[in-house]
Amino acid sequence: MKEIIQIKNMSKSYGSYQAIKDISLDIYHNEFFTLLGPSGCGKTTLLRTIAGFETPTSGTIKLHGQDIQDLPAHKRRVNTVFQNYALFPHMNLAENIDFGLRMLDWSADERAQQVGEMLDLVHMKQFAKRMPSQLSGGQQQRIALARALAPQPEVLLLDEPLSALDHKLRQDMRDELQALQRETGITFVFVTHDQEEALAMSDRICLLAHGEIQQLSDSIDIYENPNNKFVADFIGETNFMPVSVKDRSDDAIVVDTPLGIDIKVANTGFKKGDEATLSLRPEKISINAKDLDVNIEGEVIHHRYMGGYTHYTVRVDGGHELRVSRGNEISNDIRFKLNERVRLSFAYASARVLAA
Amino acid sequence: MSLSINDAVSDNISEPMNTTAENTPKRRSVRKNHDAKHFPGFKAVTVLFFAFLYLPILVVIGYSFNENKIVSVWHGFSWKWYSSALQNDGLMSALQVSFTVAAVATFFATSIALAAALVLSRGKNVKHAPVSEAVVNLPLMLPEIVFAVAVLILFSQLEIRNGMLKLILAHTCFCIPFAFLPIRARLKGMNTNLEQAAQDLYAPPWTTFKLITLPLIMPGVLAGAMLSFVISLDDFITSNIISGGGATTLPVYIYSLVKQGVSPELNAISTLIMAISLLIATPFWFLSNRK
Amino acid sequence: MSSVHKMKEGYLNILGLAPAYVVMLFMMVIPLGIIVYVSMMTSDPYGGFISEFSLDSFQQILFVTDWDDNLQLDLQYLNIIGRTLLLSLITAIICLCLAFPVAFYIARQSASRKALLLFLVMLPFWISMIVRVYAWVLILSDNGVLESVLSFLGLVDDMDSLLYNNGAMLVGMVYSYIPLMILPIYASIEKLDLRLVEAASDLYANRFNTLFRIVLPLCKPGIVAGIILVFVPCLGTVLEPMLLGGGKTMLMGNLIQNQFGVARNWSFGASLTLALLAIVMIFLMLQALRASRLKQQEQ
Repeated sequence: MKEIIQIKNMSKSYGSYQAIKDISLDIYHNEFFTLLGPSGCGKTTLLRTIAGFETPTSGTIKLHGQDIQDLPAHKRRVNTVFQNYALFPHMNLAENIDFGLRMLDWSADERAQQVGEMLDLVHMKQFAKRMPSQLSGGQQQRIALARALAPQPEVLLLDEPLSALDHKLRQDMRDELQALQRETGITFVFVTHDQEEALAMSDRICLLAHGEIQQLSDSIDIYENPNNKFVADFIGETNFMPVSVKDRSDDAIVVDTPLGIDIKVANTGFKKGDEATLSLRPEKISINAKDLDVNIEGEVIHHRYMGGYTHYTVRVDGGHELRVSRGNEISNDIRFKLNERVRLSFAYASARVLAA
Repeated sequence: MSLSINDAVSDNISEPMNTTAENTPKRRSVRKNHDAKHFPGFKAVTVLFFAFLYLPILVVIGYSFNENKIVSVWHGFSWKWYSSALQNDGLMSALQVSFTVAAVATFFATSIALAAALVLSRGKNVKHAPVSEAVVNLPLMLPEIVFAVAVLILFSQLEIRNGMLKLILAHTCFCIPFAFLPIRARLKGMNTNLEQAAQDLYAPPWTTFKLITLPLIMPGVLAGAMLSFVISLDDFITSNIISGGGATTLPVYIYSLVKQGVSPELNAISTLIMAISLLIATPFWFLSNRK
Repeated sequence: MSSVHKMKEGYLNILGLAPAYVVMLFMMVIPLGIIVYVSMMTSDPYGGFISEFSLDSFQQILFVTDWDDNLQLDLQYLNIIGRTLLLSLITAIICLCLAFPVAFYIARQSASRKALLLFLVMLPFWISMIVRVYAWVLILSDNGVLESVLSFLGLVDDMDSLLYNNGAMLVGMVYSYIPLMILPIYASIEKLDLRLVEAASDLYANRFNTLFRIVLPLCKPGIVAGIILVFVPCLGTVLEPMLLGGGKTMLMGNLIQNQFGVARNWSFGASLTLALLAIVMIFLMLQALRASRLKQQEQ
């Protein structure tokens, strides 16, 4: 895989506030790359430095191996889809899409053809002469995409483009965006605070917090093998419990848990006596099913029916509470009642030990 | 024109009264209004207020059509004071002076205000921006008589005797904040994303200004220009103090007529001036309310 | 590269602001300096001033020199200053009492009606001040509109002119400046969350209590802004005292104006101007102090 964007040791501060702290990362050709994180984590700042709206305090950005950190925005072959679309309100849709092509001095014929193709691509051909104010949010979104794609940029930057849409439309746009990325082969750099959105669309996810990279990996890895407590907590749901390392061998450690049992997990660099945190996802725990590595009993103290699945909170003997989720596969007639005694089982391989 | 002022005014005054007639008695006969946000008497005050605001104007307009030379005694309808006003050489030359001064002062004030507003809302790393903002708005902070006296002494010290030049210089100065405010408001209300989007789509800064910023703030620029035009046209205090040198503005000329006493021709002239103001105020209103 | 960029930006910033600074420097700052200078010089009885240092003009505000060259306290100018302050204050209060209900009423109308009513509030402001003051001359003068209406109704036989007194000036000042009171109050009511009024009434407050304990305190910024917007221009108002007040009931505005006209006493005019400026500055400063204290309290 070949890098299209290389960011090296980039920092950005506003006065005494450091928005980005010494970040280095590479983004590859044809990749759907997501910058994920809570608000204020630096993801939008990072995107805006790539676009050229912010100048990094230190560090370099390379596009195709060329330094671009000193290039103004209008000389960078990257385009942005803005959070609130930023369609020019005094131009119709065709003129909006045409804008970049005009600036790049394309010939009139090429421009007309490209504008037509872009309108086709986003299924908005019949609206060419409409003004942006006459469109719904979803339609504005499509035009913003078409406008940014029209000049055939090397990289498309998307700044929380789905955040202004309602839930259902957002689901549809996810598929559409992903299809568009595959179709055009353009590298997408996508910013979002929605972990579900990130998991659903990305080839790779870069999770940021406090201006630093927490983890950079693909969707499965970031969910299944979180680097630290923050990642495990931010992506999906999990049960945390404090543990201490009782024993270690070369490839495994044994930790002692508040569940009253010891668990054996792969060694990720812990020593005997270390305090650590164990993370166990709710769906990895089964209820009254076949025995696994760990089997414990408890009492259902809370349940919440969520439609596709049900959330249970179970107090295991010894007092620790575990959240368990279970898909509602058949129907709800085997739901576990409040105060019912149940047996929980999970495999050692489902548990992760993270630094405390 | 005078009729349309009349209509607009009477419409407004009669409208709240109509609703009073339609709604309130019905509501009252059934039950008391329990809406906590309703304060009894506020509507009556509002009606009285608009009457207070518009009755004097209507009186002037009404009596401008009075045939009688004795202003307050109605003798019948006549346009004759309008034709005599339009043949009044003093009025016509004052009108010419006022329009020339207003046009030139508006041009300079709007240009200066536009440049300042652009720097203050779009410039990067502008130092001491609040100070600059205060400097631009300086004329709003002093009573006008202070400004008038100050420039009078200045002009006499510099021995500037050309009346037009004096008026244009002074009007340009006090029109700047009036041109500035609508432009600044428009720039503040405009999403800076739009300019970034243009640069993102390969437009260099000057092109971005020409194709995006300028067209979008144009309503603000026009509103500022209109406001400063009217402020200049209506100014009395400064123009009166620095008048002389062969340039009498409209308000100063009217003042000299008022000093001679009320007259039906004066009513006609006043009505004509109100018509001009309305002609400028109405488009201003639509411009500044456009989103 | 980027430092060159920054330098260019710096030049553009200066270039854009320079014209405004130049105009304000030459038309506002320097002239104000000259006023201070003139106030300390001797008046030329033929107009203008003679460059001879003297503080007589300041002394003249409070004292007259009698035949024996003794200073005697003279209250006539102090009276005018006092009248100016009092009438401006009363104007501001009347404007406030009228403007608040109107602003509140307008704020509760539908959007299109709001726009129309606001337009109607502002419209007179676009009309030349001289025309608006003249309207009151027409109404109040001897044999004026008011008198003929009243005598037509048989209410009066013959009455004295209603012009040339404090009352006429007051009417004219309220009439001229009231739109300036409505707009800021309207803006603060617009910002007010009207559910607070409902919350107050839900908590057993009657209309009087909601108005005085909830609505008015929350509209205070708008009310203060409105009072300043009306009070300050009233202090320097010229047309109302000249046309409605006459020679016996002067205000500072036309007193100053006279010194540069018929009275030809520039130095005295300049020191009166400084006195007016000082009064305005004191009020603006008090307001600024209040605002900064409020800000501190919030922090």
